[in-house]
Amino acid sequence: MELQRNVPAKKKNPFLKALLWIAIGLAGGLALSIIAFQRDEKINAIWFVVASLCTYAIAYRFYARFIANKIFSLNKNNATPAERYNDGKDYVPTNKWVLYGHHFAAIAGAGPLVGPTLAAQMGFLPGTIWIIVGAVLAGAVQDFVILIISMRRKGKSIGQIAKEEIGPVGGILALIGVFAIMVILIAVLALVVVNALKSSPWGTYTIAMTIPIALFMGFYMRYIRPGKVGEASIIGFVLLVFALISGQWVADSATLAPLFTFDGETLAWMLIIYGFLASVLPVWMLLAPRDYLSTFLKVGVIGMMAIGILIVMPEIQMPALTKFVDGSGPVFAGNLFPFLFITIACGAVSGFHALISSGTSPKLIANERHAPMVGYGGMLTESFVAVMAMVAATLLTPGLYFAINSPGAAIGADVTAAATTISSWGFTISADDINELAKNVNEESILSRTGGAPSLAVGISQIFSQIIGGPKLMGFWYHFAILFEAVFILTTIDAGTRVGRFMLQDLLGQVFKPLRKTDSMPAVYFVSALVVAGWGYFLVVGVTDPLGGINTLWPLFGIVNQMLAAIALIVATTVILKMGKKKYVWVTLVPLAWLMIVTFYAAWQKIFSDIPKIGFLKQAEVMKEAAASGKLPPTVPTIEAAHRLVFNNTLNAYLTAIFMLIIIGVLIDAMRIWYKALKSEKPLETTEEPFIQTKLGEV
Amino acid sequence: MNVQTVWGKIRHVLQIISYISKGISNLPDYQAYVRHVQEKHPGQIPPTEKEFFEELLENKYGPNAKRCC
Repeated sequence: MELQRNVPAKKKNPFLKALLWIAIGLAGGLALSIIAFQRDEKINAIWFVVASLCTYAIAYRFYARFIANKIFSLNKNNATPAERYNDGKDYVPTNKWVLYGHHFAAIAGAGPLVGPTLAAQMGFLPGTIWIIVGAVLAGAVQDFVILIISMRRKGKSIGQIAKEEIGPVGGILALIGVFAIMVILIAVLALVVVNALKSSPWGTYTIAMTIPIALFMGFYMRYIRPGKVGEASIIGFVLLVFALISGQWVADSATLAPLFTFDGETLAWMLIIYGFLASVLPVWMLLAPRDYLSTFLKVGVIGMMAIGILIVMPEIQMPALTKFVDGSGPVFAGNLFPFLFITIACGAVSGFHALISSGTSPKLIANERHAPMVGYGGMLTESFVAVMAMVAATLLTPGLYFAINSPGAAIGADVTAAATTISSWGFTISADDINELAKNVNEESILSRTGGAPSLAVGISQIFSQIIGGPKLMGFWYHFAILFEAVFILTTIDAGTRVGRFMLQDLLGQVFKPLRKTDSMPAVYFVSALVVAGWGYFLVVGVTDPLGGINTLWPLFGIVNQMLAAIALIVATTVILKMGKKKYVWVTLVPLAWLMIVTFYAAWQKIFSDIPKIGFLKQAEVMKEAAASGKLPPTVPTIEAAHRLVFNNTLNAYLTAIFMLIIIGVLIDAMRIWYKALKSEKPLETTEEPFIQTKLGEV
Repeated sequence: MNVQTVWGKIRHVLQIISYISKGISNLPDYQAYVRHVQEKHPGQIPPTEKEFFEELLENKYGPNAKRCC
């Protein structure tokens, strides 16, 4: 079905329009200054919404249009790949709003929810500013520019574009970078799920139930009613709600609860086995149905969150800045600069989006003038999700926030010790407060549930239970939020392992041909096992890390993700220079320079810092000495654990160094082209497809 | 208004909902594809809905699939 609309052209009054934009600017400025300067009383979350939405509106109206007109001259008459190569399936002209929804659902995942939650330890201000400013000037620019570049090249992928516009070296390095980020991304997200399900029978049961539900949906769509995705999704959703409700019965039952209560290590191994099976099973069985379910759940819950914040209008409890801006915080280690900008990757700027912007979206876009809405607007929406996650984290009293998000090594293993430690930081809280929250959300304990998911779930349950159900339903909403996050993280694990397998088959196939065959069972099993072993290794290390795995893995993920963004911006800068638009190259060059500074400074510190909490090599050295002298710190139980820490930290240091070398390699390769382009009087030849007059009407 | 027009309206709304949700999950529409084949490649026999769906999964999650955080 094609949706067509004929909107009668309205007469626009330029004076009224100018007035409207001035009003939006003033409202945004007012909201921003309230967030930034009001210190004596608590701030309402509504100001976060106003500040971000007004900034987005102005950036979208002026900056995105500037990029569209001045650099790329987006032309509504130039036929897009969806029209040129229309095959009714992959290349289909799609309604602008629907494509915007698709693009958003494809770029948004757990990233923008976890990062801001962790960053809240420094107070709400630095994170919020970075989310808004970073998205407007870096993240949305990257997504938008890559979308346009790919749209003008038959919807080619970023790797192919890098190869064609820069050279084969840059292309292969980019491919290795993408694979590396995939492995670390899956590991860290799996760790988030493990920490959310640890000793939680309600959560574990509900998530376990999603497997038979997805299998049923898969069979339904293949054998009972082929292709009826809508019907299957509705049935799946109803079953999911039932799983959620019956989860409470399981948790309350003395016989059933122990069956679904596991420690972190067991859960990690279960996820590893699940990840392997899911990646070798046919996609219709598990992966595809889970994907539909998680897409609808994701869009639905994010919409509910926005409405919830607008109705409840919660007050922010966290101060604007905490003393942990000096890098001594328990949630993640390192100073505000550069580590805040690493911790919040998705939501401000995320390299991963370049894969989507050069994946399905450019093949579906109906008109070039839709690109700002899809590329720039899609990222602004993800940034707004990150702002909401920040609100959900900071509406908790700071004491509770730190009780949930600090690793046991920092606050101690029992409630009384934790309450004393956290209170000594200046965030007063009693053991009773912590116990009461755990009771309200039907969990055995909420202490040291690091990873961001439990903290976000508590925030969501506080908002939703104020609208529906009151304190009685807090447990339900908490597990609802956990389910929502876990379902789409599991989808990322399944699909990511699969995509990682294809990439690795491609890479290894260049050395040993038979591994390339995607239909050969031994090759598929072998390479899948390799990929699972890759992320499984980091997952088990993270779960067993006595110092708290999120502490180590999340910064590593942030660094790699931002480095991927740097690769995308290098490609974008190269194309802009080749097009002869030297005058406007700052649009991508400034965010690129910023990302290079931030990631290299952070990576350098992660490798060489003298502070054991930050520097991988220093940590390895400290553990080596401890193991040799037998004087282990209280958080490290055995000599073997200390040896493991030595090995893991050394490995992480080498990995970080390799990532740095990859980026330097791509940059040098690209600078060769930049030099050529800058010297040349005329634009250089690019692989952009020539103009073809569109024959489509309004879509 | 008679029953038929009401039913027609409901069907129209359902079609729109289905179009939107399929679009968001990037699921090509089977009917639209059949129409495409009939218009652009008249000699060809369009696949059955089941075949279409199977091939779609292969494309969506096959070697060229993309995914995000």
